[in-house]
Amino acid sequence: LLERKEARRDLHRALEGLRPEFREILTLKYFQGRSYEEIARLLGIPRGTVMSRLYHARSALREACTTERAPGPVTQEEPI
Amino acid sequence: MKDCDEFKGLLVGLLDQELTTEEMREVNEHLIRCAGCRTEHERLRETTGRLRALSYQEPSDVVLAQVWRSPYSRLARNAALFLILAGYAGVIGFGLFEFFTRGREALPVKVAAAAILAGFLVLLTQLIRERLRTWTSDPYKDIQR
Repeated sequence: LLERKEARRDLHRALEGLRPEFREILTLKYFQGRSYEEIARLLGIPRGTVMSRLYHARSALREACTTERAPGPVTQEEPI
Repeated sequence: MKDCDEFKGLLVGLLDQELTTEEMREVNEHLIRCAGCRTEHERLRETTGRLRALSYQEPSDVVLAQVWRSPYSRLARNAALFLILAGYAGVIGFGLFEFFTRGREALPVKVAAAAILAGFLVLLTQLIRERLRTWTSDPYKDIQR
């Protein structure tokens, strides 16, 4: 249980460290449960860009989680 | 023919079940052929699972209503309201007392302020009287909104 709590905290921290547009799109999808169509309308971007941004946001999150666990400098910049 | 980079967005769409039938067919065919994208798909699935576990459920209206009506919430609300109103009344009372007894303003200013205060109190009394009268004679007061 403690380990799961720790993992959630790490994930939260990693999310906070992401670029605003990545945090925004992940929040819209996974916290607010919005569909791609809704996200596209809300952000004024095509559906394809929603998918591509979600892909890069998830990759950045994975990267941030990995660097959080491993010692060394934190880098989370990811090209779109 | 699309390359792997073009399929990356579709991999996310596949995990989120947001693809059209045609897109799904296309990405599944690519996944059969491409080992790199299959690995990427697995990685994305793992991150997606973690994200989903982190998301929270909105409480339903029934649960929210129960919380709002719980004895503790009602007690806390009433106590807070009482404290705020008592604090306001105290501060206003003290201000008025200071103004009328120790204030250096000219008498006409004090008389005008007293008139405004009296008018306000008359209106407030009227309002409270009307509310009480309406409340005692309201045939719908027991209906739950």
